[in-house]
Parts: sequence; structure tokens; C-alpha cells
Amino acid sequence: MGTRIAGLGVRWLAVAVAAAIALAACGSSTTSSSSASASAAGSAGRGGSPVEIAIFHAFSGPNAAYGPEAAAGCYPAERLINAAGGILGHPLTCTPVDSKGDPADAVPAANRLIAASSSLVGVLGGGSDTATSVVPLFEQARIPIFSTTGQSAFDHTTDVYFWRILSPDAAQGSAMAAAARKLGFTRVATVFGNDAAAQGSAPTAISGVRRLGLSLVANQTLAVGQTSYRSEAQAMASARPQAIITEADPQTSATYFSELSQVGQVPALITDPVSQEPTWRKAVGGAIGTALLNKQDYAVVAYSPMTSPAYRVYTSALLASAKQVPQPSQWDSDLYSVADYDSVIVMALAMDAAHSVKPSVYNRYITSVTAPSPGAVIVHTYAAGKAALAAGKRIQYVGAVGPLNFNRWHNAGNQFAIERYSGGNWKVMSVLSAAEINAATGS
Amino acid sequence: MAELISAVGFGVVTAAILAISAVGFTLQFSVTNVFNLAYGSVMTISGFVAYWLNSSGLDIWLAMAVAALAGGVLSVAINEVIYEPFIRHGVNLFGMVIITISVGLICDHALQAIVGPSFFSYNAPAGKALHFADLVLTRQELAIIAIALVVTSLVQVALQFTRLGRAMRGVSVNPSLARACGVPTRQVIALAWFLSGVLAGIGGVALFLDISTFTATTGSEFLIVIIAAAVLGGIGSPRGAVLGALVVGIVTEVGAAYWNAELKDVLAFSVLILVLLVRPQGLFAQLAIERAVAR
Repeated sequence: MGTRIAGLGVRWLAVAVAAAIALAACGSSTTSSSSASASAAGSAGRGGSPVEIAIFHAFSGPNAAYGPEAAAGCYPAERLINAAGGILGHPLTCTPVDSKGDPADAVPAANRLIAASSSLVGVLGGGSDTATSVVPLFEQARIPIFSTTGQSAFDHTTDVYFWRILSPDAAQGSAMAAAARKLGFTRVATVFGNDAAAQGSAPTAISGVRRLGLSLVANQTLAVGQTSYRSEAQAMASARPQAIITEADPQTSATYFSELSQVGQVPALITDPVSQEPTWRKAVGGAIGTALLNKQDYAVVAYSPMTSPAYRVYTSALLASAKQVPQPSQWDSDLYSVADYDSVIVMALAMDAAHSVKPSVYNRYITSVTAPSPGAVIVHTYAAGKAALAAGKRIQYVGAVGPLNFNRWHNAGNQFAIERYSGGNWKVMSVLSAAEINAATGS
Repeated sequence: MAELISAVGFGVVTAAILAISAVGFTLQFSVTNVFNLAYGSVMTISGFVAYWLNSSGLDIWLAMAVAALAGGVLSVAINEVIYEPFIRHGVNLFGMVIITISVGLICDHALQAIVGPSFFSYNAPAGKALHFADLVLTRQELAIIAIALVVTSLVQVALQFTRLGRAMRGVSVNPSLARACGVPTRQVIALAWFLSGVLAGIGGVALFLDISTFTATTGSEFLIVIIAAAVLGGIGSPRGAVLGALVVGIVTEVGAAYWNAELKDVLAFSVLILVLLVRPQGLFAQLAIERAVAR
């Protein structure tokens, strides 16, 4: 009986498997975007057919916060672009596509997206969880992808359609080491998750600490997703660091620091932009207490003057996008959301500059609307950029994250700042100079 | 030496959490022969029941008790509504595994749709840290160890010395013969599902307390290590599951303290493979091969 499958059982099993596959497919495939489409109509040109930018991130699974985070960048941009008449008369639509944060799901989802969507003009996505798997697919399909991955594999990429606004992890690690020194800590420890996202910045953080002459009292790599890190926490407590330079996913960080707080004291934490994500703060704040987290946390992030004109435009559009972005204010200081907003604006301006929404054509114009050049009009909004281009002027878009000066590998570097969370907002405590970061990198 | 004592002590805490869940997993398998990979989802849903109650002001330990009952009811409901029709139609062990995976996915995604992709924590301070020589444990950890001791002992005693336990073991070995001998197999199976769900509920809340924060998929993410403990002890053997949990818990913590924290899983699962090479049936139980789904 154990090996027999009854006839009726086969049908039941088939139904179950089909249901499971359908469920998985629902998750992977393009999510309904009726509300997005509705808003896309807006005041965009009535003649053009919609063009689509995919938010290709995890909307389910352990990294399910990545999708809403990117959506918080895309929808405000969509709103502003359509309010300005769309791109060459085409209304823009942001379309969520669930990568599930797993290459096994992301690759078929990307292939389906490329094959099925004739109006796809760009992609936001390919975080560190899936970038190495899906970037080649979009490269082959000649569709620009603005990625938030920090992986060093893309530091010198020759992929023509890959673009990265935020600094790579290697630069982030050096900046974290530089921040430790600037804050006056001499006994420093490092704690990084063993996943690809966290490991990108670990080597340069460790080498930076050593290069700056700080004492590295502990260096831990955590196997992510464990039930316990008590032994690691005990070893850290024994090392008595003044500060811990750290990057790990929310779950791992929460468990580790909770157990560290039980066996010793949580010292100052020097964290990266991940710590500014609402999910990370909720997880770790819930584990060790929000007050302690806010007191000990020094986030080292790309310097974005939160008072810049582009940032103000972004936040006001974000808050007006509550229909597509639940609780929009939670994302207003999230650097990844801000970078995704800039990415969409850049793609739209490049299309205007190229007089074409064809990805293989406008891709070449991305640097022309972002690079500084003599006589270029500096613009901070899509509407201003579109008007200047229509008037035959050259433009330089200075975004909400600041100037976007892409190098030959399509990476735009940033300045870094140390930020603290206070009174419900992130506030710049100090900006790291190039000399301070160079001292950590040895360059 | 101090480091070893700490690591072993920490390993016992981890083992306590794993043991509760592993015993529930293996108890239900031993009776029904359904390898229920939706077990992690039952843990998670129970954990959220405790979260909602705890957020409303209920003490976490009372919330854990209610969550255990909720886990039991959910477990029985899943079996009666979903698994039982398939079993009646003769779907085999492998087919049932696929169905349980589907149910787990449905539960996780449905829960995520309700609660969102966020992290949650109980309002339950770990309590004062207590020092035992070189070992530091919180009151909460001690409570979890005590709960694990009580729960796993009760299960073992019940299986060993009560009529119900004998009936469960009878159904486990040969359901048809047990039925012929007058054992109400349907009720026994339902009770096994209920007890399994109760343990999933307790185990889920204990796990979520321990790791401090959780999401709609956390239970399923930790299921592999729970199954590892059950398999190591001998799938189908509750006392084996406890021993398996102890081995997994202590090996991972000692590995992290003395070797390389990054490779603690490598060490634990290497031990698992080595043990299974020597004793393919695990430390206690008979090999599950050729078993059929009980009905």
C-alpha cells in the first residue's frame, strides 16, 4: 500500500500540485498593478501607450520588504512623471514583479517578464539576493537595470545595461572603518552575516580597521538564520569592544544582539544603510529595545542632503502616493527607496534626451543627463529636466541622493555620512571626507 | 574549560527549543506516517496567535498556552480538511510530502498577506541574567528549559505507560491490526495530530522568544534543523528527538565557541551524516522505510 497511488488519489495529487504551482506562479509573476495603471493615466499624454518599469524585487519570502522599499521609490517617480505629461507622451507604469529573493524563482520570473512585456523599458531590482542571476538576463534583453546590489562583482562590470547609484559594498566597508576612527573608537570588533549581501563590505571594513591602526578585538562571521548565537555573543562580550562594525540581515542581527545584551552590554554599533530600513529597525529594536538601539547606532550611509530640492520633491510625492505605498512616511529616509526614485527619473530623462523609449537607444543617454558638463542646466525634477531638454539644453540631473556621476563601469559613487536616529528622523552627525575614507582604503 | 561550560549550557537552551518542536513533529509522524512539512507553518501561526494575545496585554506564558491549543486545533483541522481526503484515496508517503509542502506554502503566504512582510517581537523581557559559574542564562531561558523538560517527559511517559500511548504505538506499527484489535484508530490519529499541534504551538512561541523577532515565514525557515534533530534521534521516536536536539544544540554551540561560528551548521550536519552512516535508523527508532500512511 505504501507505494501504491490510487487512481482517484492521482487526480487529487495532481490538483494539489497544480495548486502549488499556481500559487508559486502567482507569487513569481507580475503582480496586479491596477492601481498603478490607474494612476499612470494621470495627466500623461493620452496618445501614447504606457511604458513600464518593473520593480523586480522580493515581495514574498524572507526578503519580502525589498519590494515595498523599491516601490516607495518607483511610485512617487511615476506620479511626477505622469503629472508632467509622461515620457514622450507615454504614461509610465511601475509594475511589481516578485523575485522572491531567490535565484531559483527570480530567473524564471525575469524570463517571463522579458518575454511577456512588450512595453518594458527598464527595471529596478536585482538586489544582492538575485543580482548575479538576473542582471545577465536583462543585459541580454538590452533592458537597463538599476540595481541596489552592493556586490563587488559589479564594481568593474562590462555590462552595458547595468547601472548602480549607491556605492558598492567595498566602499561601504571602508567608510564604516573610517567612521569608527572618526568617532574616536580604538577597540573595534566586526560582525557580518555570511550571506552575499553582508560579505560584500566585510573585507574592506576589516582591512580598513587594521589600516587605520585600530585594535580589532573580535572578527565574527555569523551563519545567518540560526536559532542561537549565544557562544558568539559570549565571545564578543569577553572581547569588550567599544564599537561593533556590523551588517547582517534583520533576523540574524536581532537574535545576535538580543543574546549579546543578555550576556554583556551592546556597545556602539556602526551600521550600514540596511539599519535604516524599517524592517531592520523593527526587528532589532524589538529585540534589544528601541531606545538602546537608537542610542548605540551610528549608521554610515551615502551622504544625501535631506534638504536638497530633489529630496523635498521626492518626499512630497511619496506622501501623496499612499494609495500605492502603504504608510509612505516609513520610507522617506530609506536610502534604497530614494535611490530607486532617482533611478526612474534618470531613465525617464534619458528617454526624453534620446527622443526614444526604446531601451537600447536611451541607455546610451543615461550618462548624458547625469554627468556634469559645461553649460549643462542643473535640474532636480523630471518636469524641469524635460522642459530644459525640450528647449534644446543639456542637463545634469542632481537627484535626491545627490549628484550621480557614473564611471565607466556605470557605478556612481557617493560621499558618506554618519547619521543618528533622533526625534523620529535620521540626522547627519558628520560627513566623512574623501581623505578619511582614503586612509581606510589605503589609496 | 569556562568556555566549554558556557557552550554546553547554551547548547542545552537551543536543544530545549528544538526538542519541543522535534518531539511534536516526530510524535505525529510515528502515529500517522505523514511527513508533515507544514509543521513549521503551524508553529508560525501559533506564534502569531500568542503575539496577538500578548499585544493585547496577556502574559506571554498564558499566551503560549492558548497558542498551544490553537496549534492543536489548527493541526487537526489541516489533517481533517486537507490531508485526510488524500489519505483516504490512497496517496502514498511521497505524495503526502508534496501535499504538506503545498499546505505549508499556502499557510505562509496567506499569513504574510495578512500580517505583511514585517518583523514582530513579543512584549516579554528576557528577565534578569543569572550566573551559574561561567554560564549566563536568563529567567526566560530557564523557563523554556523547564517547559521542554516537562513537555517531553509527559509525552514519553504517556507513550510508555498509558493505554493511549500503547494505542498510538499500535497504530504506528500496524494501523490495520490495531483497528482489528479494537483500537479506535481514527480518534487516536486525530489525537496525535492535536498533540503534535500543541507541541508545535509551544515550540513556535519558545523559538520566537529565543530568536527575539519573527516573520510570517520564520517557523518554516527553522523546520530543517527541527527535522534534523528528529532524524538524528530516529524519526518516529520522541525520546530520540530529544537526544537528537541535544546533539544538534550542543554541537552547534561548541562548534561556534571552539571552531568557526560560520561553519557551525556544517559541523552539526556532518555529525548527523556520520551518525546516520553508522545507524541509518537514527539513535533510537526503527527505519521508516516501507511504512504506509496510517488511516
